[in-house]
Order: sequence, then C-alpha cells, then structure tokens
Amino acid sequence: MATDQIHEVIVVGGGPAGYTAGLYAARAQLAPLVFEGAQYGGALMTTTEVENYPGFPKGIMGPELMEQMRAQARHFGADVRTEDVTALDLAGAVKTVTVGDEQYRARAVILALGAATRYLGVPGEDRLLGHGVSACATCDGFFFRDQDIAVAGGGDSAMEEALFLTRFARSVTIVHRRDEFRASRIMLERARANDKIKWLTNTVIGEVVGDNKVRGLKLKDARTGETSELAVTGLFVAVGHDPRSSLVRGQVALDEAGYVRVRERGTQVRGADGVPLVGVFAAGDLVDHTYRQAVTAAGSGCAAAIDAERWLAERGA
Amino acid sequence: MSAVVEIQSVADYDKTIGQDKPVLVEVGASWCPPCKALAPILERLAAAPELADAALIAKIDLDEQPEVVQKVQELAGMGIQSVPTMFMIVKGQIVGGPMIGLQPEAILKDALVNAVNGAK
Repeated sequence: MATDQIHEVIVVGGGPAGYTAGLYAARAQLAPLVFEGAQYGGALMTTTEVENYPGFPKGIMGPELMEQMRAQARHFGADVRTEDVTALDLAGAVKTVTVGDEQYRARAVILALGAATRYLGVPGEDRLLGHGVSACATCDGFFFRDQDIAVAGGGDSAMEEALFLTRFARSVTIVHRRDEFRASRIMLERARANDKIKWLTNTVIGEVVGDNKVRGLKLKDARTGETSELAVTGLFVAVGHDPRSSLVRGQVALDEAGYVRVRERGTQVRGADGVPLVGVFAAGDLVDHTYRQAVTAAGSGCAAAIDAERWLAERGA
Repeated sequence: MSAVVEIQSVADYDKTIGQDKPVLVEVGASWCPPCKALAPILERLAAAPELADAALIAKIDLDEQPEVVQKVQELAGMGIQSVPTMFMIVKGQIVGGPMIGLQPEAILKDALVNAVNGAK
C-alpha cells in the first residue's frame, strides 16, 4: 500500500550513522522517518565495552550507547521504526522505500545500512551456527564455561571477544591466518597479558568438525601446509564485516568489496553509471572501508544529514 | 499486562506447553542484546488480534529457570548454546527446528500462523 505523503528524508538503517543522520535531520525540521530494522542498533549491539567513543570517560557498553543514540534521535523528533526495508527505488525525484506491503516516498534518502558479520565460509560453520559456532560472544559466551574454545580473527573485535570469553572459558585460542595483527596495540597487549589466551598464528581454519555440536577445528599451517586438529567446543568468528549493500546493488556504484561509492567530497552516492544520484546520500560502515569506528560512522551520518538538508534547501523543498 | 507468558517454574512450563494451542517458547537471558531486541517483537505478536487467542508466546530466563531450560533441552534433544533460541511447541511436542538468534517479526508470525493452522 502506498501513501500520498512525500517525506523530506528517509533514513535506512539504525546504527551510529543512521541515528545521527536521524537526529540532525530532525533538528533541521525535516521530520525524518528512520527505518532502523528489526535488528536495530547495528554492529555495536553485540559488542561489550566501547572505550573510544568520546564523552564517556569510563567507557560505555555498546548496546547502551546505541539505546542512548536512538533515544536522542527520537527525543528530537525522528520517527524511528523498528522495521526492515525490503526494497528501494532510488531513481527520479521521488524515491520509494518499501517495507513489506507498505511503500513510503521521500525526496531524499540516506543509506546507513551498515555491515554484516563476515563468516569464514568453511565446511561445518553454517551447519553448526548456534551449536558452538557463534559471532556474538556477549550472547553465547555463557555456554562455554570451563571449556576450551577458539576465536578466529586478528583485529580489535577478535581481541575483544577473546578477552570477554576468558570470563567463562578455560582457554581461548586465537586462530589467525597471518602473524601480524590488525588489532590496536592496547587490545593486543591486553590479550597477550591474559593467561587464558593462547595463540595460533599463520593458521587457517579449514573445517569446523562436529555432528550436533562443535568438537574441533581442522587447521592448516599457512606456511608449511601441515594440517592439524584443535579440540575445541566453540568457535567465535570475528574476521570482519561486509557492507550490507545488496539492497541497492544495481542502482548505485559499488567498489570491489561491495562498499557504496560516494563523491570525493561529501556523502552523495554515485549511481551505477558513476554519475552522482540526486537526493541519495550514504554514511557509516556501508561506505567506510578505512576507519569503521562508531565515532566515524556517527560523523558521516551527521554529514549525510547536512548534505541532504542543503540539497533539499537548494532545490526549494 | 504483558501478553507474553513468563515461565516461573517447571509446573508453569508443563501447564503452558500442555495447552491445546501452539506455544512459541523463547529461551533468553537478561544480558543478551538480541533477546532485548526480540522482546518488543514478541510482545507485538502476542497481542496481535489474529494470534491472541490461537497461540501463546512464552519466555524462559536462562539464569532464573535452569530446570525449565533443562526440560526444554530434553524435549528438543539438543543442548542450547546460543540465546535467544526459540522452539515451536504443539501439544507438548516440538515442531520444526530451533530458531536461533533474533528473527524478523514476519518469520515468527508465519511460524505462528502455520502452527495455528496445522494444529486445527
């Protein structure tokens, strides 16, 4: 069902970028609709302590930070809906945002769809998801009390998951395919100082083994090719994220990794032909393959809302 | 009053799943972010006019009701290793596989409607 109303701005996505865009657009009197999605809050909802978001001297829990951003956007007038956008038509002067059977129209759309957990894509992983394979330590760590488990990855989120999991597990083995880590020095040092954490570098996970639950991992040494097996009852995957751009594929320009391309300056999205699309802006992890921080996502959400506001003003909306 | 049933004891659980209507059972925890996100979805579904009389939605807190969780695991023939994990129970038996993690409202609604139609 379509309504006659044409909104000024619709924000698609609910994470630091989406809520900040909603907040700025609301304060600019644009009465934004924000479709935050059923899994609202974005990537920070499954993290623990966030220590690098300015304004919280002692750190803040990821979900708490998202609740506060969401409440702030709402407080200043954003109409936040916990629904998933199912289709987008970004062509023309009026864009269509489809949510199940409902269609909403807007002059400007801000894409803040974020990024989804990347999995290893090895045999056994998908089958055993929820049965020992997990991408959420805060959700599932509890089930691995006094057990030996593994974390795949070498970035900050892998270190954070591993450190969190030491509260429950007997041992946590970090399995990383290289011998260098992308993780920040502070996180790496914290992990190295923890007796429960063991390290397997230059090691590739080839298979997750187990019938009804995880029994172990088949490993391969990246240098020698030698294979081995690691007996663990859990595997937490923290090997990064992929931009959630499938909803706009074909309508906008994407780079090789699937990130939405925007103009060199600002947040206006390029169309599939590379020409900037009128009234379409993008922010957060959907665009950013360099920084991927809560604060940079919030910053670009702000920029997208200001760009949208200026564009609407210029065309005399 | 919440439309979602909060299971407080084994007797409570037995009574709830022994009813004639399908029961969507969620095993969750207070510290689990996706469980928190799921709560308003379950409330909406439990209050939906087409489901209110035909189906039940029940929540089991992992920390507070370990004995009930044990009974669910026995019924399912599997150990729960992730929260939230949901099951559809019809006439005391689990129908279909476990639903692990936060699920979209539409999927849960379909599962409930199918269970209601199947139970008739």
